[in-house]
Amino acid sequence: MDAERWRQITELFDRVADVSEEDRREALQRVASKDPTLAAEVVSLFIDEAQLGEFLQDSGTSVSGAVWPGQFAAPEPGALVGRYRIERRIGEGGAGLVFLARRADREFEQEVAIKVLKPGVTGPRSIARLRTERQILAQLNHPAIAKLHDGGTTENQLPYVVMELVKGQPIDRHCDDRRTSLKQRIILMREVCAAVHYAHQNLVVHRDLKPSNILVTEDGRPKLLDFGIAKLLDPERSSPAREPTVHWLRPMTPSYASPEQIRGRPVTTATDVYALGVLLYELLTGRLPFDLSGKSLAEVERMICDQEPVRPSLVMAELMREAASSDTAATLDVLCRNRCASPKELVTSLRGDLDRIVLCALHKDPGRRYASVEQFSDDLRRHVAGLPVTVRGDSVGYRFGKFVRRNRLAAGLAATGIGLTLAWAISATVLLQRIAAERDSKEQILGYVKDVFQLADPEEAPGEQWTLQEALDRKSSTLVEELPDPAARAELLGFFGRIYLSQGQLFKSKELLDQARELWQLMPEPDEAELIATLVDFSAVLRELDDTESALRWSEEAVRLARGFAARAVADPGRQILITPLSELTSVLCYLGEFERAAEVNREVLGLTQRLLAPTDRQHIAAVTTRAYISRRRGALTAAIRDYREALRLHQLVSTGDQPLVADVLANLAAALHVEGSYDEAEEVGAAALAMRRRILPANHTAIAQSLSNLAKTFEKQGDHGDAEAALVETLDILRHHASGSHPRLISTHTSLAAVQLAANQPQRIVESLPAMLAMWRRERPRDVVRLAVAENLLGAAYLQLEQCSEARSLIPESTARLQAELGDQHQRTAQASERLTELRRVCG
Amino acid sequence: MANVDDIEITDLLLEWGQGDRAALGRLSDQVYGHLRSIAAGHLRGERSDLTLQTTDLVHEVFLRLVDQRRVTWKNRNQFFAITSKMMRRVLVDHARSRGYQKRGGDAVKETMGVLEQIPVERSPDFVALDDALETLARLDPEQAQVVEMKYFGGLSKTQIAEVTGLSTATVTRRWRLARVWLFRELSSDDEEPRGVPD
Repeated sequence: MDAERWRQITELFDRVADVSEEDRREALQRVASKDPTLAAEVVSLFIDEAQLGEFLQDSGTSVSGAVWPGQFAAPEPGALVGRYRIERRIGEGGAGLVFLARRADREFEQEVAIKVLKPGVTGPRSIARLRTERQILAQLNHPAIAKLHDGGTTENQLPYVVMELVKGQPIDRHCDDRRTSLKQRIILMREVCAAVHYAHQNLVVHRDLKPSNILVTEDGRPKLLDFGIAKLLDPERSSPAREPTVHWLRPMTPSYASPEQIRGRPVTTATDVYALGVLLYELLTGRLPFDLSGKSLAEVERMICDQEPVRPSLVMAELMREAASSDTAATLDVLCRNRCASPKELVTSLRGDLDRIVLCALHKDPGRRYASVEQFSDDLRRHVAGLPVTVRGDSVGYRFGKFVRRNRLAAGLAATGIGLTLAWAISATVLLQRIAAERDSKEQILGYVKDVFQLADPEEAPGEQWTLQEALDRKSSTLVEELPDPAARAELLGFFGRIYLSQGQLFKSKELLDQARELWQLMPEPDEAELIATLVDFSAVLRELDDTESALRWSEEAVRLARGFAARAVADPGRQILITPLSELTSVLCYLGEFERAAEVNREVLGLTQRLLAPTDRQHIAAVTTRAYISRRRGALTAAIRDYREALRLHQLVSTGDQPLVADVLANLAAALHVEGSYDEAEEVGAAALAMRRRILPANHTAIAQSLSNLAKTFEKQGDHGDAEAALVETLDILRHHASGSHPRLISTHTSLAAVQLAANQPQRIVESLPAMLAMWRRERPRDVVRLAVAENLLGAAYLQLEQCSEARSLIPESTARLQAELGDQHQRTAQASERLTELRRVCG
Repeated sequence: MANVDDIEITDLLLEWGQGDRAALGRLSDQVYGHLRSIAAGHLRGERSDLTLQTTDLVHEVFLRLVDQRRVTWKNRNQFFAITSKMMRRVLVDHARSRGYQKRGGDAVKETMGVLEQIPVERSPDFVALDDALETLARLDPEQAQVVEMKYFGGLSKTQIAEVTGLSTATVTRRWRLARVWLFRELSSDDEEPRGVPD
């Protein structure tokens, strides 16, 4: 189109855009007598405008209604279309109108459905679509597919299709109205599957399967309607998929649309498998897998393409939980009545096979869904018949392999009790595969794994949960030395190092990871991914041991290697390798107090997790959690609390059980609430975190100590000195398992305990224990000036309370001066010390 | 509120308002830079509809960079018009660089720095929209400008009318027409209809 023509169109549009419908028609007719194409152009603009929907419309401004020019009017009752007389309109789709019609010939009294194009939707594409539909229907002859009777072209050259008239209800309403049990619903679903499978055998993909297109007749038989956007799979003519520019312009029903449809990728029979999965989900639970109402296009896209659906049994379980406390009770009641079952029965029936069958059909990756509708249907048959189904979800090996690869640390942390055994088994299997070439070492490892299993198996060693630990202690060192191949040795060392790390045994872990790292780095061509993972874990151990400078060095090295690795990766997923090193670097920077840089790195992590992972992926949730932490440290409390709650929410979407990461989020949320001054909620959340950690971690885990010491602070704010003291005493008990007596964390905890005891007016307890500790710290940590000064000041304050002036005088003035020098006058500790100094002068002169 | 940078931006805006065409280029560069960094911070971690947020961004940039006491309504709207154009550039540049990276082909034209984090890839195809707007600008620059200000800058029709000197009714009609035109342009790449013989 040239600019001149567009100017004419714009001019005419301007003239008729804001006038009444009647005036517009008149004006256009006048123009049409001189320049009919110009008039037609403008008419088509108005028509298309009505189809735009939300296109480019960010503020939701509605578009003024378009007019239907008379010559394209929809058929009225009584009008003739071909040999059929229109009676009334019975349906409407994206591009078509469906009418009930009767054959006008005397000899037949047959009722039919006639589909014509909607006025205004008569462009070449719509016409071609209706023709395609007609051709498709002509090929299909199946009792569960509405039959094609006839077809033709109207006077104004528009095509129409005459079909079997189906009198029935949409499948979801049919099931609810008849109070159909789950089993009957599944049986009905299989009839639908049979029809879809038949279409697939005829190379037809329906692409728009949804309840309103599947009617169930009076006698309970389903019928497939509306092949309006169906597609012929023509193996000879199929062209390579082109990425459409604006894919949401494609016709589809978002609630039933598959990720590939949303993304504009090639559509195959797997697309129908997905839609059937959505339908089954809906028939079983009464809900759609994703609630898309009120969501933006981007949000819809994200949910369908990235978010894992909640499994059906969990939907019911959630509904039960909600119903106990809210007005959803009525909804649940109706839902259950319509399925002739109690809520509990529903959860039980859905859990297991049906969950797996539905989720397999709904897999994001078309290649991982059921290979055919027939297979899907067959698993439903097997389920109803009580036979084992073929789908087992992703195989355990696949999932765990992926899990271990993605996040070794998390895998280790998640590993407790039987979980540890499982993670162990899988990791060992992965390990065995990796070093399969090394015949001797493989056999050695195999023997070792067997030993461990025998030890860890409760049948073999009943009552002893941590036999695995013993096995590790006994075997790890000797076994590693026996391995001839350095790569195998490094891998195994790293593996043991991680297990120790997961158990909070930091020193052992550090030792083994350090050896593993060294071995890898000595190799001319190390396994890079393994080396990077080892460095990340090594940094994590160092960080936990407060050797933050070394941690920074190794995590930066890991990031450097990973960047090189990612740069060489061809595909986007190759960048995933960056996530763990960058996350670790973020943590290290946080430990170093460099929150600006940490925030920057965290942003990069979130950029990657958002792009490459599902929102419910634990690494993404961890990154959100980290962002919360950084916000908190930068003083943005509200943002932090919001992010922590968001992380919890994401978590609960995938699982409701105890998990280390959930406990961490709870613990951090508690801390943020504490800082905010919401002590009651902080106590509640903190106690939940502690309880969860106690349930899932070994008794002496450092994370439990952390929870306890935080909780102690909250107790103290609430004036519960007794509770605070008890919590700190237990904290110290745990810490002593892990560190020497002069470890900074022990010093801090001791001083916290002393502060609590001082507040509780128990100075004698301080005087009994602190002097010996202080002597040791002075000896072993002479440079830890601030911690020493804080401890000295507290001890001095204890003496002051006991009115032992000479002892107090030997401690308070000097430590106060040091705090002033180190922390400045404004610091809270300095202020506290100064008060004590004043008090000292008042009491002791 | 205003720091050294802001004073300069306000000056540039006033100079341009008084007819100094050279000021426009410098002003645009300044706005682009600020927009990029503010956008990166503002949108960090957000994944929802970016277009909605661009509106807020454009206003935020104005509040942060321009000394409110020295400018008139007209200056303000002119500033919005520039910001809309720069917002379009920020989004499109980013989308393009992302596109290059994805294909792993051409050397990346420019480092996006902090902007790397803006999650535009799930948002509308800015590159295609940008191309279409270019074509539209050749047919009717006014219509293209209205879309730029409304869609990328989040300006209201009244504001657009003030900047362009058109009446609000005309702005509305330009917008309606441009929207249809763009819709057709962008959907013309949709799946080809299959010619099926009757």
